[in-house]
Amino acid sequence: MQNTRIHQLPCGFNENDLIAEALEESVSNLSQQVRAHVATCRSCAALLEQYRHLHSHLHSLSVPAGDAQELHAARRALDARLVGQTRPRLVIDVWHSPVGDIRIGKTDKGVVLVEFVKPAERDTATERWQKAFTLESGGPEVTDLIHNLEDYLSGKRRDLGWIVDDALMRSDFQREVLRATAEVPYGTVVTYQGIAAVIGQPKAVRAVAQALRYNPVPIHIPCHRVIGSDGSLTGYAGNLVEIKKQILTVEGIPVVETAKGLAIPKERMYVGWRHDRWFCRPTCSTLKDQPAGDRAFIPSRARAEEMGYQPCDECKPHVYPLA
Amino acid sequence: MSAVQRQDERLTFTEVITLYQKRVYGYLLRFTRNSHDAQDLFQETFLRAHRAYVALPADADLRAWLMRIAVNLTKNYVRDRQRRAKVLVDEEKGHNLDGTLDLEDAGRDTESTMISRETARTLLATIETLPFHQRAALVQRQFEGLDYLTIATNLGCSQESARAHVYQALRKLRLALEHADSEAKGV
Repeated sequence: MQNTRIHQLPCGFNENDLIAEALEESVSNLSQQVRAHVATCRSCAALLEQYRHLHSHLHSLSVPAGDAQELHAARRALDARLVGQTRPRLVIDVWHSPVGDIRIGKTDKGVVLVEFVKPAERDTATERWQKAFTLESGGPEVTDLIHNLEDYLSGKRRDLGWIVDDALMRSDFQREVLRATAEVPYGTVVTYQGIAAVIGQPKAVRAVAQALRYNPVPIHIPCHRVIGSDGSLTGYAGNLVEIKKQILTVEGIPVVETAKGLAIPKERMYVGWRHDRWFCRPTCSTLKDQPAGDRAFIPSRARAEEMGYQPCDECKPHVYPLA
Repeated sequence: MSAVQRQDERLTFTEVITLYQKRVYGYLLRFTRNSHDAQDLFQETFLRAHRAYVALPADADLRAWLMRIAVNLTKNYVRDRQRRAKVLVDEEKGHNLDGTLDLEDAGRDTESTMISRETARTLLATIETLPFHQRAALVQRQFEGLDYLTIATNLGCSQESARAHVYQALRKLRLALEHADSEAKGV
């Protein structure tokens, strides 16, 4: 790692200590050490002198902060461009759904937010959207979305088929995580680790969990289909875990109570290979070669076959189904 | 966290600009060494910030957030210039138009500060070739006088890395000067 690399000079002294001294940023006892050393080591004395010169050369090359007029001009130009950016329209409504109140918002570009609303925040939470949007309430556009959600929660519909406006997504990293999550099929689950592998950042498991926690369009982007490596329903903070459970139940995924909270018994589920579209028993020997990003957990044989997955030749889940 | 950040909910975007415009412009000007580019990047920084402001968590550190946008834009700026410089070099067989402005600029300071035009040229040219993080850290430390903690949050790295970037940059600049010196002496 770069920050721990030590730059040792032939005399055994650390070059970084000379640089610190030249920049006048070494603490006093180090500074004393450096001075004692350069008194006897001629090459280090010369080097220190070079760094001092460099420091003062750079000082003379620094540009002044810029006069107030330049900044003023830049600000004027910026203000003019900001005026041209009108606040987009946001049509918003709250639906009293079977899993609790859900606020849905749509701009002209698409669905921008789905929020589980706590009763206490029903009236106040819209304030934060007023900064960036011109709010409108209700209307047929949002009513259609509510009907879609209603059908989804009653199991009549599996894909909401919405077009999403990504204005509330926080970063390109989050967009990538959400894109990968949107690919997880209905009625299956994957792990945070799996998503991290899909986006090519296998170590970013926590960052993936964080990105999903702030998913602006839950349900449509199925962050509920992403679980901890131990099967736990982490990520949905507080009472939201209960909602996550209800949504998973709608999709036919079993949720059990464990000592550590709600969890998915993935050791009792089939394992799907998403790329090659086949499925195994969880004990199948082929699974040790499976990349983390390729793995999906499927609750039943019927579900796997419905998705067009073939049974594995090795463990034969069609001959020896799970109990 | 300062009182300003806690009141974030009530800050309009215009107020955010007013609070941090000097900070952002200072960095951009020191990095690009050219007020035209600095003004362009300044507008771009705040236009981007404006689009993202609504999704920003209420407790976010506004200064660090804006600085990261600005830092990222200078990263793109370096990349675009290098691409353009390459095209120019290819087309005009070595005539590099890109550095002209900076060196003219440096020459202006020559008499008053006793730094030779040749030294200035070497240093500025070397700064342009530094890896982005080293360059950005050097600019913030040497030209803006920021402390390592601030540089670290602006770059999204640790304080130790921020320091290492600056030192690494200085090492390269020293070697470049040494090299130029020995060439001049015909060694």
